[in-house]
Amino acid sequence: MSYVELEGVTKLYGETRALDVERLGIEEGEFFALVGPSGSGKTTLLRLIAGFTEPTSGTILIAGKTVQHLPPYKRDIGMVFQNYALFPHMSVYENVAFGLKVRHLPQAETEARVKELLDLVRLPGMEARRPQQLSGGQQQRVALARSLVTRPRLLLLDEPLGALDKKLRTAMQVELRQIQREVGITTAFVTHDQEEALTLSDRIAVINEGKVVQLGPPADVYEHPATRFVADFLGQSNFISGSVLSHEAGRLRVSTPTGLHVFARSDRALPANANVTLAVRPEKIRLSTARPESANAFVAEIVHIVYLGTSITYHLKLSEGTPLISFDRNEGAGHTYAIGTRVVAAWDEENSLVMQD
Amino acid sequence: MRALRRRLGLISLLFPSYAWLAFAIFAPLMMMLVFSFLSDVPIGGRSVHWTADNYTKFLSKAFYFKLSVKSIRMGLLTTAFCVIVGYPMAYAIAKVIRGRWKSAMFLLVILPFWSSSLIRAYSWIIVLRQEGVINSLVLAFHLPPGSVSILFTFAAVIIGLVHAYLPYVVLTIYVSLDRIDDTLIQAAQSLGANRLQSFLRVTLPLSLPGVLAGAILTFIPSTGSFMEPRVLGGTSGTVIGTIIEDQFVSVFNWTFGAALAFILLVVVGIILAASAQALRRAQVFSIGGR
Amino acid sequence: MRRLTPASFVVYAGLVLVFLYAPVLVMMAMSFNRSPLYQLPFQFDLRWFVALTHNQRLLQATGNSVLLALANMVVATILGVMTALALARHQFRGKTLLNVLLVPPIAIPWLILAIAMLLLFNFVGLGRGLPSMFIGHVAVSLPYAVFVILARLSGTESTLEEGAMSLGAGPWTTFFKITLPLMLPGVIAAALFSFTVSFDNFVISYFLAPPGVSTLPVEIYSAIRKGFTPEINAISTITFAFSMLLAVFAVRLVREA
Repeated sequence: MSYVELEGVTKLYGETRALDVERLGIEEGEFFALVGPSGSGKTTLLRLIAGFTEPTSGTILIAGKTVQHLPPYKRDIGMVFQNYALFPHMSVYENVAFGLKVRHLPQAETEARVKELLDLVRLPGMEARRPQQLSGGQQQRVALARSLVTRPRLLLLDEPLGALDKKLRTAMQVELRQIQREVGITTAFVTHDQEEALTLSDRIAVINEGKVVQLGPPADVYEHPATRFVADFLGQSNFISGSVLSHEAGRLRVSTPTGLHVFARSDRALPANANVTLAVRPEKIRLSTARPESANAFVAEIVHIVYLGTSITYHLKLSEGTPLISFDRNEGAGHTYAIGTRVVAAWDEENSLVMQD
Repeated sequence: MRALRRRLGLISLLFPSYAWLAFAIFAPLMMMLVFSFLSDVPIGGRSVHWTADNYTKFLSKAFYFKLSVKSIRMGLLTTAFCVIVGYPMAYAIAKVIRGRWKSAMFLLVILPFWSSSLIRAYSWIIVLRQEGVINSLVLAFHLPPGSVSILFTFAAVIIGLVHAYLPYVVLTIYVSLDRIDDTLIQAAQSLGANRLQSFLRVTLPLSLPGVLAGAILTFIPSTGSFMEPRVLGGTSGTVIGTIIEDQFVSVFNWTFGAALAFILLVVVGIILAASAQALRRAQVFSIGGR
Repeated sequence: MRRLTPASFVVYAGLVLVFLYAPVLVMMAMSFNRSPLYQLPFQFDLRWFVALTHNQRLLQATGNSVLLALANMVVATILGVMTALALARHQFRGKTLLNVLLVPPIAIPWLILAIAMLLLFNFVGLGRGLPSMFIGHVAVSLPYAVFVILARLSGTESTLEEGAMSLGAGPWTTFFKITLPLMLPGVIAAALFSFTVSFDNFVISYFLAPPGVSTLPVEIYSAIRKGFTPEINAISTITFAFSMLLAVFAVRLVREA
């Protein structure tokens, strides 16, 4: 049985259905990401697990115990908020020690544990400082230390890295994951940054309009998005719509209204003339001047280039008019194409993903 | 050249107001200090001399000491009741009541500021007097008539003062409570603190600046008040404020009145200076309050 | 310990509101009561309001109050706008001092201020009277006006004015087309509040009123001291209702952000 389980959980605000989750499980010790656009319900879900709201219907279990009617202070959780919520009238020490003081832990042990946690988050010696004197990254670490010092069995993170600048954020992601592994605590992590979710998690749940759209390990969900939404939300996709021309031995041939013939692979039964949408990830499209071996190979003109430092994004237009985006590694000036160049855009048929909607 | 014009512009913006304040507030206060050391008012060709008699009179007589104690007691009781009654009220509006009701409640608490405090004090006469409403209620419950006669007692004065200053205290406490981010309480609860504990350890400490500001700005005027004591206290309502009023209205000992007023001013000044930091932190004056 | 439910807070809030409003509501009810001694049972009668129209003293006092309040409103608001503009949009040394100087008129008990004014005005030959009261009223209204307008001004960006100037608007144009409309709700609120502060002002008027010249609060006070006529109820009811309407209007203005 999962460590955290949601069964038939709904949350309604008046007429609005903010959340509708039939079944969700978070395994013990895993780093579980809840990712989705703003307003998708991911924060609502986290707050339901934390106990700040009660579900309109359904059951929430933590470690086998039914908790949906329990207040947060009875759920043995640790939580880090987006704004860190550090107590401004207390020092770093008092902030971190708060949970222990509330549990009436003896002074000596409190001191020892606070020091242990501050060392863990790499902020030794900061006990006397006030939160207002700390940088954003430091505040974030204090918030983490504070949430872990009571040794809860469940850690909830509500977009904790949202307020940091890019470089700091990337560094903190690594640190956060390391600490989580070291402590071994079950963690639920909410973010709207799909890159972050892919990087950090053992499993991802993609949430949209209150429903869990897809759930699984990051690589699975990324490489095999079930719906157009997931294909578009995680990473980027080129979408090609058309109707089925033929489907033999798993090889699908799709014809677009503009006369483009695209090959894909699918195990599903798809009758002729059925409408399908194919998703092709930009990094799977290779550009060359010579004709390659792939089933999908089309002549294209480069209409726009975006230079991103580590990579280059090419905006292409196929000869019959379909626009495509392709990512290429930046291998130096000698290996880049200029605007206006005619190239061949090619990708394997396995990389044409058939969408389920 | 532009800098000079800017400076002139700035001065012309500020000069009229501060000149007005200098003439109407600061010069009079200094005049009051000067007068307090005179034997008589230097008008109409009277001869006057410098003297400290007014102050020695205050400091020597036991009557004035008792009066000061009574006035301070009045101020303390008013402040205490205002805070005790006002805090839960402010908390209710800031943290419990939501939506349209919240702003409606807030409005209702602020409205009395805009009415005359004299009228409000006067309305208590009607409620508290012997033949008044309370007595009609008393009769309705078959209690002996005249058994509840609150008017013209010290208690009536306190009631009137609390009634006058309660909105202000509720406002200042509300402002500081409203500023407290809800996530701080949620964080405390996620760490194991129940509702009472999170209130005592997080909400209350963070709201103290507002409480202090409200308390000080209630204590000062209520200690020096004379209108409510006169209107509601009758003979029991003799306090420093009424004695000062007497000097100018009936006894015509203006210099003594000036001395008394100056002593009161010094006390007020000390309290304000001592609590200046707390008042600034509560940011009381960024709101258009009373 | 039983849990403090939200309901108990709401009930408490209701009780406090009853405490705050009941006496005045009783007074207002009594002004419509036939009995001159405020005795129940209640008999609806407008006689006290009618009697008001014959009470020359009260009417004249009310007239003075209105006059004073209007003058106060105009002057205090203009001064308040000027001061608030200077404090909000300019950086200079001594700003803190100027802010601090606005505190005494509010924090010092008006009793002290009133007698101090009485002393000075007598000394310089100004004496008592409506002009003296006017000077005093403006002085104590000014800080409130400044703070209300400041609150409104600091909520808006000075970048808007900088934008206007970069587009070629001179200082006067910028003021009238950008700054003034932006702070208008605050200005109107300050005006209404200044009106109220003057109209309801008892302490300062009381000490600066010469014999024969009076304002409404002073009349009410002397009526109370003498043993009052129920006409006081009537005029108080009117005044209170008027103040409340003014207040609702003003607060709505300030709160629109």
